[in-house]
Order: sequence, then structure tokens, then C-alpha cells
Amino acid sequence: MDHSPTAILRARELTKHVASGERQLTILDHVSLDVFAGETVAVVGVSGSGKSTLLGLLAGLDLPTSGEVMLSGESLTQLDEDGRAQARRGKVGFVFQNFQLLAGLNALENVLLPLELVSSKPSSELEDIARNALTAVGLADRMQHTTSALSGGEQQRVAIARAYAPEPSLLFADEPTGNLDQATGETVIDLLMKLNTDRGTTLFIVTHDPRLASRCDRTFEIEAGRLKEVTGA
Amino acid sequence: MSNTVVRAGVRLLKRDINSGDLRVLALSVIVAVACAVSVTAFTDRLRGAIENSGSDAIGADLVLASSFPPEQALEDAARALGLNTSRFTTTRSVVVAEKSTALASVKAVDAAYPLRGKLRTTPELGEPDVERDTGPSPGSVWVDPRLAALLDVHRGDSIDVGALSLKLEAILVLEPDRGGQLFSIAPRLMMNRGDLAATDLLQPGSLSRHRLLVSGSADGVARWRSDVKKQLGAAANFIDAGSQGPRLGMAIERGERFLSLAALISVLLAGAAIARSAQHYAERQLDAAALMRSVGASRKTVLLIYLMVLFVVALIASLIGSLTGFVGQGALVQILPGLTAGELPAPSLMPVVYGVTLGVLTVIAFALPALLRLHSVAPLRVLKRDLGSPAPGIIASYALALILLMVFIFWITRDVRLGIWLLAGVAATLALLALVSLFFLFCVKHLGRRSGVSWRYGIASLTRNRGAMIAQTTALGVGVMAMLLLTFVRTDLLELWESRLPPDTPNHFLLGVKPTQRDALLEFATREKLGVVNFATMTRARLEQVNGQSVSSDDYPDGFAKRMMQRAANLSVRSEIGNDNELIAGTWWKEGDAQDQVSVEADYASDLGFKLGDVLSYRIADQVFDLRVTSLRTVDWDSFKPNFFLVTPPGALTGVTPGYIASVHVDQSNATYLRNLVREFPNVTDIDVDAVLTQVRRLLDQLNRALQYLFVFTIAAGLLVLYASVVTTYRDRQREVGILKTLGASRGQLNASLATEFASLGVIAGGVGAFAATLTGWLIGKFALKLNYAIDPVLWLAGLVAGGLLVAAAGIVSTRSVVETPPWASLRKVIDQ
Repeated sequence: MDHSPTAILRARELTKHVASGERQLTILDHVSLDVFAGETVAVVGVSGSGKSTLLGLLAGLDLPTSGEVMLSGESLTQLDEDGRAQARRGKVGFVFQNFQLLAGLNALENVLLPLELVSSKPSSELEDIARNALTAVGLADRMQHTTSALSGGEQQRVAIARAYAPEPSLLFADEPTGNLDQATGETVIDLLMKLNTDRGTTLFIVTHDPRLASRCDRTFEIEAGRLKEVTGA
Repeated sequence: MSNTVVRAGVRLLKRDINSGDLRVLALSVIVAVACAVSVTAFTDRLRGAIENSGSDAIGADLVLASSFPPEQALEDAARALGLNTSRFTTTRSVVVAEKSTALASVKAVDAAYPLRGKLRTTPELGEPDVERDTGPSPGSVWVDPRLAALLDVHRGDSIDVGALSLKLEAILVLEPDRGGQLFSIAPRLMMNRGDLAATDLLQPGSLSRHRLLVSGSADGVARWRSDVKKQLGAAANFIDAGSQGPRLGMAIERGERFLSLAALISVLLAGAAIARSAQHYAERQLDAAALMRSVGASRKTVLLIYLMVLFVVALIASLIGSLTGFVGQGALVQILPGLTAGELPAPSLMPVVYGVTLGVLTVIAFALPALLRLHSVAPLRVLKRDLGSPAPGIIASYALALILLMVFIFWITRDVRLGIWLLAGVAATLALLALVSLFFLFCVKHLGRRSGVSWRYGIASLTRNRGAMIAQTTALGVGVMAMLLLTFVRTDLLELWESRLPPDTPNHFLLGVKPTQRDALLEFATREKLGVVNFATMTRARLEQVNGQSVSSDDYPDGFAKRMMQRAANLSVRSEIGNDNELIAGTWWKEGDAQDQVSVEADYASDLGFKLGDVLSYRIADQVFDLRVTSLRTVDWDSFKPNFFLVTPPGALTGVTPGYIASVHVDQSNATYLRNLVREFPNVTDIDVDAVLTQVRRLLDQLNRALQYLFVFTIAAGLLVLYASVVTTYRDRQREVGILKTLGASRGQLNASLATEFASLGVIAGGVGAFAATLTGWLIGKFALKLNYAIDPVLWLAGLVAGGLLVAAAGIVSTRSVVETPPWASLRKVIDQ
């Protein structure tokens, strides 16, 4: 694959300790990583190996004990929480295992949410973007449904539409197929890959699912807090 | 209880004691119990004071009460039986001091008074009081603290009572047979009976009451009683410790019910918070319960463990609540002084027992449905976490709570019918308020439809759980309503009532004007520029028979009719019906008609059971007049002109010399009127309507303060419902804030969104409160005061703004930590749960 010369996401010597009673556990141990624009990266590993912690640190949702994370050349570790939120705005999208849609809002409103948070465009324009995003994931006829009226697969498609609607350059996905049956999982994987191909969005995916990992450009495995690339292994 | 249960219960309790659910539960129990105990302990002491006083409460063993002075022969008969006797007379009169005048309830006592109990006086307010065996000596008076303050008098000052000037000798702080002062309007002046004649207060037609007191051996008293009864028949009106107790007790009971009902609102609201937090606590324990079941714990063990946890929390909270309530009842004693003549006894421990029982039962009743879910949780849940436990049906769930509620209401009202009405009323009101909540939610939702993401998310959070939202807005709305009723509605109604009276509305009534004084009074009115003097005749008469059948007060149940029958009726003469009376049945008399007719005020007729065509036989002195009811009419009492329940045509009462009652308008700037009136017409009693209104207002203020005290609990309970809801939705909120942060929301945006949610909630609650307050004001206006209560925009503004600010502040404070938690921590916490 033709990689861009500069990394959109760069991690250097990331270490994360957490206290467990009087002991200290090392979740991540000097992890370094470069993710380049437009590529798809999967991180696999057993439960508790630190995959999700790595995702949280790379997205600036949490701070490492030591080390540095650069998002589009900006050091997230130097920023406070609002600064990190600002750095993510419009650049980063998320898809979670549990979909994490907001109850009380319908599908369209859920997709509108990040758009309204980051954009000053008129509402009608934002609504058009949200409608297009939902149409792109095949939910044109489900826009007014509240989340509780949608199936698991549909909820994950709304989450994908929500992640893609602001056209982020980087999308983090945490076990996106973890709560779905095989067929629905396949559909979601196809959708993620298609959006990557169509829009050139960089994908960083934490997964247990070998099907999903195998569709990515590069695969890393995390074990006892250490990261190693296993692409093509 | 087995060791296993105790050990596991203690461990769970240690783990959960700081959880939000148990904290809300405990706080709600504290509020409910503190409110109920403060009212119960207070009324318990009142009742104790009445029960303790016994014979002291009437100043004798037996009292003969009458509108006319009891004959000397009756007193002689008592003495012949070896009994002690005493007499006193009470009347109302304006008394005049150097700086001020006031309407007083004058009591003239003889040297033997009181036969039972003691009087207590103090030389000056605030100084220690001393016991006195007898009343004031001739030439001196005692006044109660209220009158001393009104007249601004001190020891040695002169007070004019009718035509006589008397010296103030002491402040009367305790009078055995005073009864509940809260319900008496005029303050007390006590004087020596020997001085009474010189005051000229007692004239034919003046409103005076007479009492003959006896004490001595029980046999002697009983014998005298039966002798007098034989002699006087139905006219004998006795008061003994037994009859006085219930009468006073009834007044206190009415007050007690009133206060208890106000307390009930808080208990109900706190009950909602208890139900919600107990339910949430139980839901969160489903995993732990499943785990216990999977390792072999029986259903019973699981249920007992959680019952023990809740029991301990309820017990501790109830004890704290009882203690708070105990301190609180002291505040009620301060707010409502002078309820009883005697000193209040120390509070007993019964209210604590009651409070703890109430607290524990409320928790168990509201929590039991949720606990039953734990009881039936499937052990398989340890493998399949989404395997819930079926929620029992609502009726089955809350049957126990409903039964408890009904028992509680019946216990307060002691009247099944009233209890059922009350329950239906509460249910209908809450349903109506819930509908109003929904309406306001609809408005709020549509008002800000396109107002940005913070608004959108805030409103979405509000609508997420509609049931909880309605519970919160209704609970908070009741608190806001209470606040508005005591501030705006009360003043609005008073102002409206006062403003509809024309400026020259009579504001003074003159009672007991003799026929010979009529012209002199007209002359006096011209001199004092009193405007039109409305005269009406007034003759005191006693009803002896209805359609030839003897009647007495014993024939009527307690209440208005009985009270009317116990005293003399006032008959007036009128040729024209007048524009403040309206005929609703029968015909008004014309010239030349038969004269033996009477027209009766419709409500009075209905209470006493009089119908058109009935013949009423009234005794006036030694004559009996048979009068046929030929018409029923309604009266506009607010016209402040002299009006009567019973009116006869001219000539109906031949041979009787009537007294007159007059009404006049006295300008406020007229400072000499009262002094001159008392000097020129010492027998005339002046009733200053403004002064009476001021005293009524003072009473209302006292009640108002008591209600304000209780409504603090209502507002606290409303806020607890909100807090319970915040606690139970905390995890959802934490997750959502986490998502919003990952999507790029700043803390400012999140705070704005929380502010939107809670302020909207508060505004809706404010709207519900304003609606309920306006409706209550309208109902009171329409049915009690016959006024058109209009919507007060300031009340609505105050309700909406106060509700919005109060709830926004409370909501933001209780959810602050959600916004402060880093996003990944929020999401991980939720995912890890």
C-alpha cells in the first residue's frame, strides 16, 4: 500500500500503570506505533491485554503514565481535557462495541450530535449531511426511529454513520463486531472498509475478530503490555 | 436470623452504605420521619396538656353556661348541697388605654374564682410569673400579654372599660379555663365582678355570657346537676371536664389533622424517593443475588440478607429523623404559642416509636416489590447477565405500600369516608399534575426545537425516562405550589377581597344600642362624620319548639347547628328584604299579611333542618312567639350591613322592646371616635371590623408560619425525588457524557446541556406548581370567598423562575462529578459494570 510520508497518529514509549490495591499493574509497557493516513490498522490480543487502554490513550480519552501521543502532529499528552476534546473535533470518530448511542434521541439526532458539536454550519445543511450518512449505511428509512426501536446491527450502522458524518480523518473502533452475530458482523466490516476506500479515512481497530483483522493493512498483537506487528502472520 | 444472614448483611451494608441509593433512601426516611414526628410530638403535647388539666380546664367541677344570668336560687341550691360556687360574666368590649384601644374579651370574676386550678400572673412581661388563688381585686384589672402589647400598657396604667377606669395590676399569663387561644380572636381582660355594674357594659341586648361554677363532692355535684336539669329542661347547658375536653380536643384535633395532612404530602413525596432508590438498589444487587443463589443460598436467605440491610438503614435513618423531628416540634411550639391555657407537658417517647415504625414500614413497603425481584432472581444470571428477573405487576408490587398509605391516611383522618375522599383527591390531583407536566414538557420540547446541541441533548435527557420525569416535576411542583400558595395566592386573595369593598363600607358594628339611644347615636354620627348609619333591631330569643315538638342542642350533632342551639338566637325586624338579601324560596311579606312569619337564611335553615311552613316557637323573656317559616333567603355578608339569620315582619314581636345594632363607617383618620363613643354610650359594644380582620390576619400568619415550616420538608422531599432520580440515572449519564466527550463536546457544552435539562425540569415543575397554586386560589376564591381569582402573571413568573433556578442549581451540583470524570474512565466504568 502507498503510505503517506507522515504519520497521522504517532505513539512514543507509551506506558500505563494502574494501582490495584497496594500493587501497581503495568497495562502498557513502552509501546510505540505510527499509523499513516488512509491505512487500516488492527490490534488484537487476549482479554485484559491492554487493547482498549491503548485505544483510549491514542484517542486522547485518557493520559499515559509516561510517553507521548501525537495526533496530526499535535501532542495530545501536553493538552488538558478540553484541549484534547478540541484536538479531536472533526478529526476523530469512534465506533464502540456497545454502539453507545444516546437513548432519547432518534437515529438522525444521534448522527447530528457530533456535527452540531463541531460545526457552525446551518442546521439544515448539517441535517442533510446526517441524512446522507444514514443513507450510506442503508438506514434511509430508519432515521426517525429511536435507538430502542433498532436492532443491534442497525444500531451499529447508526454508530458508523455518526462516526463518519463529520468526515474524520481517523476512526477508532473498539470491537465493532463484538456484539453482533456473524452475518451482521460481516455487513458492518464491509461498511467500514467501504467507507475507508471511498473516503480515505484511516481506521484503527481493536478487535477479537480474525475476519476483521485479516481485512486490515496491518495487524498488531498486544501481549503483556508489549505491542508487536504480526501483519500477514 | 442465622449467622450467615447477619454476616453477609453486615458485609453488604459496609460495601453499600456510601452508595447513592442508600444515601437517598436514608435522607428520604429522615425527611419523612422528621416531618411526621415534629407534627405528632407537637400535637401529642397539646393533647397531653388538655388531658392533664381535667377539672382545671373548666375552673370548676361543673359549669352552668347561659346567655342570661343564672338565677340566685340555683346558686343557693348548690350551697345548700355543700358545694362551693362562683360566677363570672364575659362580654366583648373595646377597652381604651392612654395610647391605644383594642377589642377585648372582658371576663368579670368574683372572689371565689377559680374553684379549680390556679391563675398565674406576672408584674411585667418577661418577668417570672406567680400563682394566684383569686382574680383581680376591685378597681384593678389584669390583661393577657396580647392585650398588654396591643394597648401598650404597663403596671399602674389606667384602662377604661366601658364607663369605668381601672388600674392595670398584673399581666395574666395563665387562666385555667381559657381553652385554646389560637381560635379566640379577642385577647383577655380580667376584672372584678363587683366593678361590672359601674362599667355599664351589661345592658339588655348586649352580648354577654354568664357562667355559674360549682365544685365539691361528686355526689353533691351530680345531685345539683340533675336538680337544675329538671328545673331548666333543655335550656340547661352544662360544661364539665368531659364535655370541655372533647370540645377543646375537637379544635386541637382539627388543627392536628390540618398539620398532619400538610405533613402527609411530604411523607408521600419522600415515599416516592424511597421507592425509586430502593428499587434501583435492588436492581443493582441482581448480580450479587444471582451469585449468592449460584453458590447455594436459598431464596429466603437472599431475601433476608437484603431485608436486613434495608432494615438497618431504615432504623438508623428513622432514629435520626425522629431526633430531628423532636427538635423541630420545639420550633412548632414557638410558631404557634398560646394553644393551650396550661404549660405543655414534656414530649413523650411515643412519637419516636411512631416515627421509627413509620420509617421502617415505609421503607419495607416501598422496597419490598424490588426485593422480591432479588428473591426470585435466577442463579443462571451469573452466566447470562441479561437474564433479568421478571418485574412483578404494579398492583402486586405496590399493594403493601398502598395498604400502608391507606392505614396512614385513616390514622390521620380517623374517618373512613374522609380518608377515601382524601385518597381519591390526592390521586386525582397527582394525575392532573402529571398531565400538566406532560403538557409543559411538550411546550418546552417544541419551544427550543432548533436551539442547538446542548439544548437538544438536555431535552433528550429529560424525555429519556418520561415516568421519572413526571414523578420529579410533580413532586417538585407540589413544593413550588406550597411556596406560591403561602406567598402570592394568599396576598392576592386578601387584596382582592378587600378591594371589592367600596371605600365607605361600614367598618364598625355597634351592638346593644337601646331604643332610647337611637336618636342620640344619629346625632353622634353626624358630629363624628360617620355617614349613613344602618340600624337594625335585634332581639335575643331561645328556640323551644319546632312544629310543636320540643328541641334542644342535644338533638343536633356536634358542629354549627349544635353551637347555634346552645346560644340565644337573634331575631330582627324588616319590612323590605333589602338589596343585600335574595329570596330563594317562599314569598316576602306585604303590608297587611299575617305577622307571625319568619324568613330564614338558607344555609342556617338547612343546618338546623327548618323547612318552609315549619312553625318555630321562640321564647323572649316570658313570652313565646310561634312564627311560620314563609321564606328562605341568601345573604351577602360581605356588604357589612347588619344582617340576620332570622328576620320577622314589623309587628311580629309585639310587647318586646328590641335592642338595636348599627353599622357605620369610621374614617381611619378619626382618632376621637372610639373614646367619645365609649364615653357617651358605655353600654354599646363597638366591633371594629378592621381590628377583627387584623387579628384574623395575625392568626392566619401564625398558621402560615406553621405551614411554611412544614413545607420546608415538602420542598426537601421534592428535591430528594430529584436527587433519587439523579442517583438512579447516574451511570447512564456518566456513559452519555463519556460518549459526548469522545465526540468532541467541551465541558462548557456539557454544563450547558445539564443546565438545560435541569432548568427545563425546574421550569416544568414551576409551571405545575403555578398551575396548582392558581387552581387552588381559584377554587378558594370561587367556593369559599365568592371571588373571581384571576391568573397572576407575577405568580407564574416567580414559579417558573424559582423552579428553574432551584432545580438547575440542585441538578448541576449533584451531577458535577459526571462532567469532571475523564471520558475514558466514564466509558470504561460503564463497560466494566
